[in-house]
Formats: sequence, C-alpha cells, structure tokens
Amino acid sequence: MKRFFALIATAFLVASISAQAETVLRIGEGSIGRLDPHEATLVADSILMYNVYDTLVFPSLDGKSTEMKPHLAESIEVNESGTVFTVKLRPNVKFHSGNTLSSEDVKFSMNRIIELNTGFSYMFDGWVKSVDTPDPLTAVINLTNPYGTFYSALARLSIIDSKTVLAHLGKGDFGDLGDYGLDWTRKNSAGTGAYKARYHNTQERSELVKFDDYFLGIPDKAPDLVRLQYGQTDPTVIALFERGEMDIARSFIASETKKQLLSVKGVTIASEPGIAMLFMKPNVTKPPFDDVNCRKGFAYALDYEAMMLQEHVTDKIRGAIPAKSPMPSSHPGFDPTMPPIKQDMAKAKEFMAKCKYKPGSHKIQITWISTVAKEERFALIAQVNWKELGWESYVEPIVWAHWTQKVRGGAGTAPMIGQVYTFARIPDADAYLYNIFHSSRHGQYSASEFFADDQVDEMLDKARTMLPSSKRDALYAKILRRVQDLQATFTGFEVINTYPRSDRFSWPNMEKPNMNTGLMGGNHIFRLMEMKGG
Amino acid sequence: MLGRYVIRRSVAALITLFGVSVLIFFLARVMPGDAAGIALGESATLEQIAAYRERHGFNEPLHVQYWVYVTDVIDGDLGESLYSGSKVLDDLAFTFPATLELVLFSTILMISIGIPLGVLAGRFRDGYIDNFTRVFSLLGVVTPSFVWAVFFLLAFAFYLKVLPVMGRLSEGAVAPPFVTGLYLIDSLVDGDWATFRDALSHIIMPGVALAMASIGQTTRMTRANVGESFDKTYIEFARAYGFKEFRTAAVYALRPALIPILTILGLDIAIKFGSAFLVETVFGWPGMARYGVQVILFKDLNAIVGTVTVIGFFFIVINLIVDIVVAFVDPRIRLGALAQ
Repeated sequence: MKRFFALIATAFLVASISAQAETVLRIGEGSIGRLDPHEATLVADSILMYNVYDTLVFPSLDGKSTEMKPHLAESIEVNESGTVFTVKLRPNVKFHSGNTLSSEDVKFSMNRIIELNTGFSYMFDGWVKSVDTPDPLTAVINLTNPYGTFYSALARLSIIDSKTVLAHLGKGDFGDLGDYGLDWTRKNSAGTGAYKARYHNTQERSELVKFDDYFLGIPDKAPDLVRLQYGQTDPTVIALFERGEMDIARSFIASETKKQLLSVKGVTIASEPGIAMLFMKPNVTKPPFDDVNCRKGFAYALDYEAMMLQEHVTDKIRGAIPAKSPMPSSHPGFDPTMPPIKQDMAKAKEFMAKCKYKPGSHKIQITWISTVAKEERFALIAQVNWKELGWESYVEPIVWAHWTQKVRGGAGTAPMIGQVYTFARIPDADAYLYNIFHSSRHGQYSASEFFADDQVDEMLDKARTMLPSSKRDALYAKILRRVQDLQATFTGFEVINTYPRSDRFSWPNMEKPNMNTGLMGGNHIFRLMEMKGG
Repeated sequence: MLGRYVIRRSVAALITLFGVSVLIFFLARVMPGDAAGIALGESATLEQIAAYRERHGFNEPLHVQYWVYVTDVIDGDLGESLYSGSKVLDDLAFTFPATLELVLFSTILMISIGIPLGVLAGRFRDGYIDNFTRVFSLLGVVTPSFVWAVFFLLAFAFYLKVLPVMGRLSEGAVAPPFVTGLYLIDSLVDGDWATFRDALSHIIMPGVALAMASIGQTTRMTRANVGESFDKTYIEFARAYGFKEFRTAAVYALRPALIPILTILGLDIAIKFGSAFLVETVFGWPGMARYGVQVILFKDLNAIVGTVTVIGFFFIVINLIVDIVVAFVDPRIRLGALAQ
C-alpha cells in the first residue's frame, strides 16, 4: 500500500514538474542580430524588433485580413490633406521597465530614429516636421507634405522607453543625448513587446523570455524562452534538426539542405509568400541595354522556370512563383490581370531583330554576389539563354560591398547586370517601387538599373502623396504597366521564403489564411505560437 | 645574455606591431566597398549614407582618420563595429578567449600526438608503425580542416549523437566565473566539474578538426628529423654506452630534431588564429577567426583593424616565445644573434 501511495505521489510530482517545464523555441538566423530597433535592417533584426518592441500600427492578426490596424495606438486620425496624424495611445501599456507608455515616448522614438539616421529612418526623415504631445495619451505627428505611405511606415517605428533610454545615455555624437542610449539598447530591451531580452550578443545568440505584463496578454502555450542562434552552416542545421535541437531555420539555407531536412522526422517546410523578389538588373544606360527592344529581347529569352527551379524544395514545395510585375503580389496596387512573366523565344527574337545593336557588338557582363551561390546559377542560365540569341557574355562574382560601391559610383561604374533579392520592408507599393524606379534614387543598390522616365517619376511622386485608396492603387497599377512596357528591369520571380521547421509548435502566421503580415521579419510573432506538449 | 636577446626581440616586435596596425588601417580603407553603405544596410538612402560618412569622419583625409584612431586607442577605445554596433573591444574580449582556447587545445593535441608518433615512426622506419603514421599524417595534411569538421559533425553529432553540435557550452549552462575566459581552465579553477565536462565535450570536435593538419605535419617533420638523428654517430655512442632505447630516442635523437619543429609549431599556432574560421563556423564556435572574416566581408573598418592587430600581436608574441625557446635549446642561435 505504501508503495502504491509513493507511486501516486511520484506521478503527481512528475506531472507538476512537466507542467512547469520551460518551453524553448530554437531558431537559427543569419550572421548577426541587432537588438536596437532603430538600427534594424536585416531579417533577424526585424524578428527581434517585432517581439521585443511594438509599433503604433501593425497588420491585423485576426485571421480576416492583414490590413494595417492601430496596435499601440487605439486610433489614428488623419486630416484631409494627409499631413497631420493624430495618434491616441492605448492606456496602461507597460514597458519592460515597468514605465507606462506615453506620447512622450512616441515623440522621443520618432526623433531618435530620425537623428540616428540608421535602420528605417529613411521612411520618416524629411517627412516628419514635428511631434506634439498635447496630453500623455495623444501624439500629433505633423508632416512636411502629404505622404500616403506614412500610415504603413509606422509599422517600422518601434516605440522605445524614453525614460529608460535617458537613464542610460553614454558618451556620443548627439550633444546632450550623448549616444542616444545606443550602447545600452544594443544589449538590453526597452520595449513594450511580448518578449524581453534576457541575453543578447550580436555575434552569438539572443535569448528572449516572456514579458508577463504584455498589454495584449501572452497565452500560456507560447514559448517561455526563445533562443535565436546566429551564423550556422547548413551541416550544423541538419545535425541540430536531427537531434531535435532546432525548431526554425532561416530561409536562406540551400534548397538541397531543405530537401534533405524533409527526411528528418517531424521536419516540414513553412512557406512565406509575398515578401521578396529576385531581380536581374540591367544597367539601362549601357549598350545594349539602353535600347528598349534589346531589353525586351533579353527579358523574353530568360528561362524563368529554370531559375525558379533553383528555389524549389520539391515539386510540391515551391520556393518561387512567376512574377507578373516588379512588385510582390501581396502589395496594394498589384495588378493581378497582368500576364505572368515567362520565357518566349519567338518574341525574344522578334524584339532582338528591332534592336539597334547586333550580337557581337558588346560582350555582356553578368555579375553575381559571391556569398549568394544561387545567383551564380541564375547568371549561368542567363548566359545560356542569351547565347541562343547570339549574344556572348561572361559571368563574374563580386562581393556585395564592392557591387554597392560600383553602383554608388554612378551609371558609368555600375555593372551591366547585377542580381538582387529585394525584400518588402512594409507592404506598400511606394516603399517598394520608388526606390527602384524613381530617378532620384540612382546610386542606391535598389536602383542599379539607372532607369529614368519622366512619366514614371511624375506618377511615383504623385502616388506617394495620395492617401491609401483605390485611386492610389490604380495609379500604381498604371506605373507597373509602364515600367513593364519599358522593360525597366528584368524581374526574375516572386520568392516564397521557405523555412524548415519542427513539428514541436504551431505557427499561425505561416499556417492560417490571412495571417501573413507581408513584413520582413513580421511573421515570426512568438506570442502567437503554441508549443506542443509544453 | 638571454635577457638582452629578449629585449632586442621585444623592441623589434613592438615596431612590427605598429607597422601592422598602420598598414591594416590604410588597407582596410582603400579596399573596395563603401563601409557606410554596408553599415546602414541594403535599404539605406544616399542621404543617410552621406550623413553617416560625415558623422564617422570618413570624409577626412586618411592621416587625420589615423590620428583620431590612435588617440582613441590610447584612451582604450578601439571604436565601434560599424556593422554590429558593438564596441570592438567588447567583441574582441568575447571572441578572443574562445579562439585562444580552441587553438591551445588543438596545439596540445598536436604536440601530444604528433611528436610521439613522429618519434616512433622515426625509430621504426619503414615498419608497420611508420607506414601507419605515414598514411595518418598524409590524410591529416591533405584534408582541409573544414572537411574534418563536417565529417566529425556527421559522425559524432548526427549519427552517433555522442557529442554536442555547436557552441562552447550546452543550452542553459552558465559560463564559469571569468578568470582567463577559457572555459576549461575557468571551470577547473572554480572546481565545477560538470561545466568542465560540458566544455570539454564541446571543444573535442572543433579542436581535433583544427588539429588534424598540424598533427600530420608535426608527425612528418618529427619523423624526418628524428630519423636523421638516428643516423648520427652520437646515437651510436649513446647505444654503445648502453642507454635505454627510450632515453636514446626521447632525449638524444629528439632534442636536435626539435629546433625546426618548434619553429614550425610557433608559426602553426599563430596561423591557426586566422585559419580556424571554417571550423568555428561549422561548430558555431563564437571565436575571433569567424568574427574576423565576417568583419572583412562587411568592411567593418574598426573591427578589421582591431582584429588584425590582435592576431598580429599574438603572432608576434608566439614567434617571440618560440625564438626564445629555440635560443634556449640551441645556444648557437642566441650567440649568433648577439654577435650580429
């Protein structure tokens, strides 16, 4: 009898221990992760940003739509001219420090990102005139000009705890504000997010734990601890999955590795469409690409299916879909009626016949970024395709730093063909297209085509001043048709990011309809995940 | 006499180090790539980049930039990593001990396996041991360390699952209190055997992978030199005196053979600091070699100068130590150097 009771007691003990056991979600990410949200640019930075910090707006996660909705804000009103945004904040939102969110934090965050001039500051710099704080829960953001993207751009302004930052100022270049607290915020969290940093080393890993006072609450089944590990090789990722020591790998590992991982028990692939596209960018100032017929000929000759094949994990798990225009299909303004971009050798020859240059007149330089092995394959595919039209080319690896420097040097130094994966920072047509096709952006990596067209410039300038509306969307559709007609770039395909993942948790952003935020790093929302058996 | 020799060598080392820092400072700035653009990321606008360059003094003439850098270094500030935002000194303080521990561990393997194997092979030339050693060392030398790394990873972490995949310690394990930054030593100092075992299990695979080539090389060199020694008349004398074979081999045959081995050993240790990159990457080892390559790829100016200077310093120190040890072992060298 004694033994029986001892057994029951042990069973209860084991049950209670397992009920309390800490659940851990393990993620492998890129080479580094930066914790200060105002310096964020990479995927890993954005993942940290959206879990440790909150923004005034965020895509709705109700499963009905992904429309941008007030998040830290209770409401946002815009005046008729689109130059004044009145933000009413939610009351009683707590920072990790215990401080309460106020309009001063909004003002401080806006000034900080603009003055630091890093990360996503370009979305606000030059547009924001001032931020007024008539009361602790109201912030009035005054713009210099109407800016239709501004509402969506607020999804990239993390609100930081001003009191905590001001208490941790170090020596720096910002006058009385010293280093703007950078030395501290690079290692510690000062947000309102569902998770706070327990440990962070940019080169090694971040450990995030639940923030119990999160204003939206965190379900018990959400992971207690999230560990982001930086800089893993493909063999390491395979070994970690095999041992059950990894839950999500980064999407940038080789397709072959992903395929191999599918043979590991419990590993599947999560798909994230609508975030990125691959471009093969011609320098349209250099012959033969300065002739629109040549460009069209080259574009029609490209074997897009062969290129997409490099992205697919299996026949069923596809890593790319045909593009219809140079903008992800998830963005407002995308025109689904445009035909998919595909190879057509008959048309390629037809346009090439109208080209003012003849094969042999120029040798085409096709560059690929030496750290992105896939791009070499794209370059080789293009080389073979263009050879069919009689054009000789050479394939040249180049490091990213060198390529961007050449592009910044101007049209004369920019390579003839460069390849770039372009990610959506926010799901907005202006944020995507302006940086590629507006002539004022020449010299930026995204505008390495050096494309210039007065009509396109005019339409882009007009569209960005319009508030989100069907009229604005129609204008963007018109812009897309125009740049496609002029073959301003070679759009490769729309990328579907594919993440190898374990079956130890559920991932609503990837699994349920209408939960894809369309934001780079915005689909790794840990509080929505549920650990199984935890 | 040895003291004067050491002083002369130390002064020369300091001058070399200064030269290295100047050279790398200017090289880092003239190599292709816009540091500001890379630091700000892909989406940076030209205006952002221009402002960043201004703020960080990149528009100043190079000699002015160097002067600012030197004055900061004198204040103990190696600057900020442009890419990660961390202080370079913090990054180096975190990554240097990890690489040092890995390199020292592989050096211990190199000495404790390579030299005895070489002596045995030299003593029993063309026998079974020699043949085995020849194949083993050849494999070690011709196989790149990253191939060993992947092989060990698959064998011991993936299939057998007897060793951990990555890192310096297991998940949730707490690093021992800082004494040297080397977890194996610090955990011993702390008397924490569990952490010692954990750290040891983590360093075995990267340590062996990094050591394989140098074990092979040391074995081959020792075998050749010891083999030559065994042909010398003093060995015949030693045998004629009736000294035991072990003493003859370990003392009389090995000592003159050690001088070239020591020189190569010193160079090898220093080179490992840079070449550990791939091994560190495969095993997620947060070391300075991996850090160094990353910062070069990202043209992280301050971090490049800091990392290369530290590696240069270590290289010089190791060579200095080797010179002193060699001079100690072979008086002809130190006397010759002083005579010059």
